Amino acid sequence: MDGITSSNSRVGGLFNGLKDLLTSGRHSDLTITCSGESFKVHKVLLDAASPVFSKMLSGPFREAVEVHGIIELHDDLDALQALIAHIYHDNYDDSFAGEGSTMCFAVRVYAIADKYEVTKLQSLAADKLKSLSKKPKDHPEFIAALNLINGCTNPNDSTLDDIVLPQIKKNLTTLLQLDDFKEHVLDNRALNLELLSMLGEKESPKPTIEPPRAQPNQPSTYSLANSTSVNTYPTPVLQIMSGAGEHKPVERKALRVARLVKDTRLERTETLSILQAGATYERWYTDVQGA
Amino acid sequence: MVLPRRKANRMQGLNVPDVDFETTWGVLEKAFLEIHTKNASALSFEELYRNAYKIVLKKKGEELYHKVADFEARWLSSEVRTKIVATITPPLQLLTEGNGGRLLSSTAERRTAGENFLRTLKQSWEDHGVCMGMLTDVLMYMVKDRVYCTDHRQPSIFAKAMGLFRDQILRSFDRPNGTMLAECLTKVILDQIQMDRDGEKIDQHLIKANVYMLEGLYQSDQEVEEEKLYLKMFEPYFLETSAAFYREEGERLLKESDAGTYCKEAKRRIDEESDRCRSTISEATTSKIQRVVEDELIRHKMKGLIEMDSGVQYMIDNDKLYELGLVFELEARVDPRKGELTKAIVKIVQDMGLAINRTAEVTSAAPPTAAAQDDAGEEKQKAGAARQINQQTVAALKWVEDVLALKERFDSIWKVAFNSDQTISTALTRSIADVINAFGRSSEYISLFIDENMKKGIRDKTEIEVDATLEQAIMTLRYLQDKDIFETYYKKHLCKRLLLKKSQSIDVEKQMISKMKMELGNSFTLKLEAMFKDMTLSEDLTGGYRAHVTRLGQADAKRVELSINVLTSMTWPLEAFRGAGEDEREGRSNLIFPGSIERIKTGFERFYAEKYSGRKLTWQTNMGDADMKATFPKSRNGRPMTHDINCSTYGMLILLLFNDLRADQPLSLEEIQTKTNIRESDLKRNLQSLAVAPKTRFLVKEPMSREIKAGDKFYYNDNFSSKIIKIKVGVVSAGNKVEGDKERKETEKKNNDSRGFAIEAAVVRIMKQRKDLSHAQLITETLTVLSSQFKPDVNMIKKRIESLIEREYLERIEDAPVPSYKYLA
Repeated sequence: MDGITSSNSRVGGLFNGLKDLLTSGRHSDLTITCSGESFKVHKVLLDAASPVFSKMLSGPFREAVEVHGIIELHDDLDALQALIAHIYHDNYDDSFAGEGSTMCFAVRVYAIADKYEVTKLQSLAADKLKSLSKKPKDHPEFIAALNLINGCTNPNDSTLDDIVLPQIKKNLTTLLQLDDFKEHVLDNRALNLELLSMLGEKESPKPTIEPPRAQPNQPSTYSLANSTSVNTYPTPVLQIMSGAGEHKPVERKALRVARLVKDTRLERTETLSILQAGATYERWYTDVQGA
Repeated sequence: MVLPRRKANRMQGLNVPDVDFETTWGVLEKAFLEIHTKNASALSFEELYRNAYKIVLKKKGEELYHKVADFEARWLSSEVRTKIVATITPPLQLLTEGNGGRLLSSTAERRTAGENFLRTLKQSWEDHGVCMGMLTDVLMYMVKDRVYCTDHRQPSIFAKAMGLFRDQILRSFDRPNGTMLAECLTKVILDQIQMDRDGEKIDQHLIKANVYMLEGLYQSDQEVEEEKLYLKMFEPYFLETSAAFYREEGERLLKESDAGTYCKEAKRRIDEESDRCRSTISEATTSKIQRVVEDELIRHKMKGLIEMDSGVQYMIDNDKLYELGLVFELEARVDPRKGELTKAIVKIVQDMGLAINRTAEVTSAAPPTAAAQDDAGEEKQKAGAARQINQQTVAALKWVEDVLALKERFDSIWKVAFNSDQTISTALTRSIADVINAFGRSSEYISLFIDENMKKGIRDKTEIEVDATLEQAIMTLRYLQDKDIFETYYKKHLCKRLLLKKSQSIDVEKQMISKMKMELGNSFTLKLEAMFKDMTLSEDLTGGYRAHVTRLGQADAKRVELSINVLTSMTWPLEAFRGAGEDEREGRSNLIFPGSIERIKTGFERFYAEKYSGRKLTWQTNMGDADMKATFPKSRNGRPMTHDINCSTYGMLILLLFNDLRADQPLSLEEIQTKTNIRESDLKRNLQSLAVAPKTRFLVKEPMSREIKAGDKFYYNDNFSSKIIKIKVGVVSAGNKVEGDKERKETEKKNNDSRGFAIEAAVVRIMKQRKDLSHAQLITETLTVLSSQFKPDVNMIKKRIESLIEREYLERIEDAPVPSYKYLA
């Protein structure tokens, strides 16, 4: 696919012809500039690919009214290049990441695709992140990606969270030993909550009480973020949390419910300790199941 | 973050330092103001979009939403509202506040002011829509984000802004304690529509644009379809005012114009209102306003319209088919059964029918009273009676023709004006049937009508015309209830036609019978067909007898030839030939025949007895006729001439007596009677034809007078002269005429008897099949079975049942819960 960028584009049909148009800038009627770079692009393609560009280029605003179209975008340049490439090539190309982390790049591309509402690229980026995060060789890179998800994507969109959470859970014990991770999770209460609920779910395949699953996009996240009150757990719950003693099913259920319901008001340190306890508990639980 | 500095640099826009909401909103707000003042082209979409995006990313989407809403509310309530309120000038204030608004200001003033108001409102609404479109575009990311986080009861920002237009503009008042703008709008539109109805020009597009706005807005932000402002704040008022307007208009029209004009006007108004819905308001209202106009102009006024002086009666009287069509069309709109019109038509048909019936009764009843007062001699009275009978026949013919004409007239009205409507057709059929059955003599009259046509009417007609005439007769029959009575009359009339050879064409007679067969069924025509069969058989018989005589070799030139009709006694209504007051025995007096006649009489009796043993022949001499050759010495200018005379059997017997006498030898009445044994009344009647009627005066009477009296003498008239060779001697009262009262009573009695038999037969047949049955059911079934023949009187059925019980065909079931009967085998 990469080889055919010759001027003899008609060999490859429309698909290759489009690529050629981007490289040659032929018939371009719009220049996009960003961080000093410029791209000669075609309004029709932008319009077709992105509703945002469509409105920008056909509405009553300056971008559409001015004849010599130069539009300056204030975006992540690498990701923007991937976006433009996608519009012409219909692919996901992480060569624009340079020597940077491909996992992080996937998040950046996801963010820009979200901003310009290029849904196909959005899902391509999410897929990429999924496949990359399944075999993390490098925990710091993973944590950097987590940070990016927290920082530059729409906090109400849980697509990427859903991808990384299982990986966090899987490697929770290891991750908890890394300061970077602690830093990250403590910053991200929504993520904490999600993690806790996942642990709770794992406990029993068919819970007798289905607790309301705390979704990051539910309003409760606001109250979590705004809360400052300290909360104490009832003694049995704390006992269970610390992983001590035998647990009857009733108590396990109590633990689960307590986590899910009351955790919304946790303090930082408590969260951490619970997570640690949870990790231990998880281990213990797996042991019990194995035995 | 483990990223090279260079990279971090390139990632501007990512992980932006905390956005200051107020500052960013400030940028947006300023831009929104520009958009509302139509300066969008100076703004950068990218910048605005980016700012909104940043706000959302920082989880301030909800706040942004409310800021935008607040901004719009402020803009609308201050800038836009002020502009609109400014257009509510005094003429409009008068219109919207008081009831007299339409009177206090001139139409022109109100129109200009109204249009100004409408235009400003339309412009504001359209601007609002355009601006909100632009805002929504800029806020696209916020809109998208809200998919994640809104509880969905909150409207989209666009819908919210539309709602704000409703709340801030339409639901605001033009001034404190003033009128709500929505109400102003409704009233202004209604005022303009009224101008349109009054025939003035208005700007339809302007109103349509405002209606369009009302259709795009809802009572609440939930945007429930049934709660469009149009449906809540305009349509009901529109319908209400329209109803009031048309109620008045309808009443005015009823008073001021004729029914035809009313119909045209109503139609025009209905069309106009649906046009108005299309061009000026909303098509959704079309059916509702039509309903209103139909209610006011048609449904509530139909009765009045039909009963107007220029109403349906007038239209029918004057053949105003187009107007009748309009009335029909109008009523068809509101009532698929066309109740009022049908009722009116039925009444008119019945009235006209009654008039026809009454005329017939008057024509047939008037002469006898006149004749009864006239007692100037027997002769005159008799002539009067004859004239009366004749007049009745004429009345009968006229009646049938009138009824047919009535039916035809309404049929054509029905076809042209009533669009061949089924309901009206049924009603017409019923009323024509009512007319026919309300007339006591309809059965007889219809039969007479056919009789007249068979004898004379069809003479000069083509086959098609004849067929049409027959068809007409059948049509009247179709409506007739008492078909059994008709059958009696028809048999009587047919009998006379056949025996007296009055019928123009036997083929046509047979056609008629087959038509009746199709219409009324086999059993009805059975006896009629038997009559034709008798006629054919008789022809064969006559031929057979002639051949038989020839074979016997008695070749005799002077031999009398016999032509005979052998009639099956039950089939033929022979009483038809008897005059009133003669009973059966009297009619069969034994005549004395001269030898030659007596010979062939006995000869034929022998011949017949050989052929059909065990049958008894009774000679109906009163029905016979004879052809004779007679020579009168001075008939042709003093020279002898032989005439062919056709006369009745009686006439023949009388004339033969004079064969053996000299010219100066007289015979008295008494002598003639002794020699022939003809009954006195018949004898007198025949002598009258032979000695009084000028063209057939073969005998001379002494003394010369019209009346035949005892002791009168008769001579052979050797001075008879006529240029005609074939002379037919008229026999008094041989034709088919309307019955006299006495005959009628007899017919009725006979008819009642035969009905009695028919009822008994029906009852027995039913009971045989059902074994036992309740009284009510038996009555119903009997009525059903007999309905094709006649409509029996229930009392008569009861009597027949009683009689059957007496004769032990049936018995009462004693302990049955309802009166019931049991069949006894």
